[in-house]
Amino acid sequence: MWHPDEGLLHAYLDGEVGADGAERQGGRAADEIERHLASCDLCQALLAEVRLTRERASAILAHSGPTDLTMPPFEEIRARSTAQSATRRRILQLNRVRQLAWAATVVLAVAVGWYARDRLRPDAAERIGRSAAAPSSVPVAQPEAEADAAARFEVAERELQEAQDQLATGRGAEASEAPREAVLAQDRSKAEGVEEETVPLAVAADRVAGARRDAPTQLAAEPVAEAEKRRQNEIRERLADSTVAAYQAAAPVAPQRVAVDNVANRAALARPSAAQEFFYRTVAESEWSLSNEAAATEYLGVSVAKVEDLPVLDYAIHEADGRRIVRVRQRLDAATVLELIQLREVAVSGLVDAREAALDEARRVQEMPAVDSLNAVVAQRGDLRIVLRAPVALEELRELVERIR
Amino acid sequence: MPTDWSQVYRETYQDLVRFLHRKVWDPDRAKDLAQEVFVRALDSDPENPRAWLFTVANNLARDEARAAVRRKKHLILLKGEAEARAADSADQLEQKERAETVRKALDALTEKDRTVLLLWDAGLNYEDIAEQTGLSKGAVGTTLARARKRLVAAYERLEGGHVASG
Repeated sequence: MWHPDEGLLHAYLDGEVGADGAERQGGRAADEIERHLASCDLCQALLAEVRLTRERASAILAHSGPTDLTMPPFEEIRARSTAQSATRRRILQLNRVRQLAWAATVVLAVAVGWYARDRLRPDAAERIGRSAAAPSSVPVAQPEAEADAAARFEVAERELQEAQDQLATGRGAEASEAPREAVLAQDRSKAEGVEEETVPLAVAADRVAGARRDAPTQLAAEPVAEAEKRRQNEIRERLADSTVAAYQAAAPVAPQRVAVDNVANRAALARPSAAQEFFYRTVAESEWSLSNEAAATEYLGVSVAKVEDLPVLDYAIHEADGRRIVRVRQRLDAATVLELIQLREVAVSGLVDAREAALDEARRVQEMPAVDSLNAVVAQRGDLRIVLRAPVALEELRELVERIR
Repeated sequence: MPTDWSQVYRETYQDLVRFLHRKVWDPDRAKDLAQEVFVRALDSDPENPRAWLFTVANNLARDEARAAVRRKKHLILLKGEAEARAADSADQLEQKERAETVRKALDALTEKDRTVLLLWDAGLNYEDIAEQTGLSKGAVGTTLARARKRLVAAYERLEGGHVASG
């Protein structure tokens, strides 16, 4: 026979056992419990005991409550709630501001660190100088230098054209010797660092005539064609210098680090040779013709220079002003390409020969202004002049020069 | 439909104070906590406002009991109470002694038994008690039966001790 336990009887007395089956407690409905109680004296006694305990417990708890249970006005509670909400909002806003401040601090620290990292790197000066190549950062004096260099370029170019015309038309040397020598005298004056000034043609001619009188007799005895060729070479050199000067005037004026430490070499390096003009201008990709190593070697006349242990992407050849130029592209890493632009450096004048001879071979690695945002250095290997260009630090380019084979 | 908190306040405030008083045993603190519960409630819109209020109250009381500051304050209050006892009338003295006995009797219960008992006494039904305590609805009756019996037994034992010592 089933008997309700104490828990069910407590629930029954607490009104937690419903009259219908929907509100069963302990799997029993209230009417089922009542039917059982009506027929079970034992459970009736237990129910009386449970009722007594329940009432006694409630009475005990009633003794413990606070005597004063007056309610403060609800408006007071609402006012406190409103004030606390405002405070919470302020705290949230303050926290948000603090978070933003922290974020800004972190960003600033990273930015300063990044900036300082760039400044503190050994090639910082060059990098910063190169990055200043934007037109807006060109110094005010730059247009004057640029204009001057451009004018010099035009004059030299015009003279070269005239000389070539004269050579082509077979005009006699004597007829034009005085004016031409006058120009040469002016050019030499410039080369020797004499202050540039406008020298009347007649005066220049006198100077040349005097010089010719003092010169060895074989100079006068030279065939006209040879003298003309020599003159052309000198003009060509000057033209190259003007080209470089024009480029340098347009290029950034950042301090250019030179890999020599004596004044003579610095002065020599400050004036790139004629061959370097090819490196200072950007050759359009369409002007290069793809080739291979054997063909490029044959084209160049010597083995093509490469950096050892770097995969070669391609070989290309290009001709400019009768000079054969070869380009080798090698992969430095997955995203970086190294260009080696190379040509045979043929001395075009005694001046160039002397300058080249003055350079210590080990020091003949010269930094160039960045071309198309690429750092560049010039290296000499025998009669092969090589420009290395890549978007890497100059120091890295110098190390790569050492690995050229 | 949003909760009419002013009505809930009128219907629940006193039960809440009583419930809290039996948790913190400090009438003023119980009132403060009860008001704090309603202040928090006004930003909410629970399905079962009464059950929600007691849940928050239970949490506040638990936090209060855990606070070392509260314990210190409680000791100071007891000390002050002892000092003030001399000034109380005989009735007041008897009431306070009885309340202290109830507190001790409740302290004799387990935490679960005490909570179920106090929630029932505060007017919550079995379903709400089950929801708050994690018990099944059927287990609430059993727990409540045990808690009531133990409370009565503990109280009578303490009362007997008082009578014997008195």
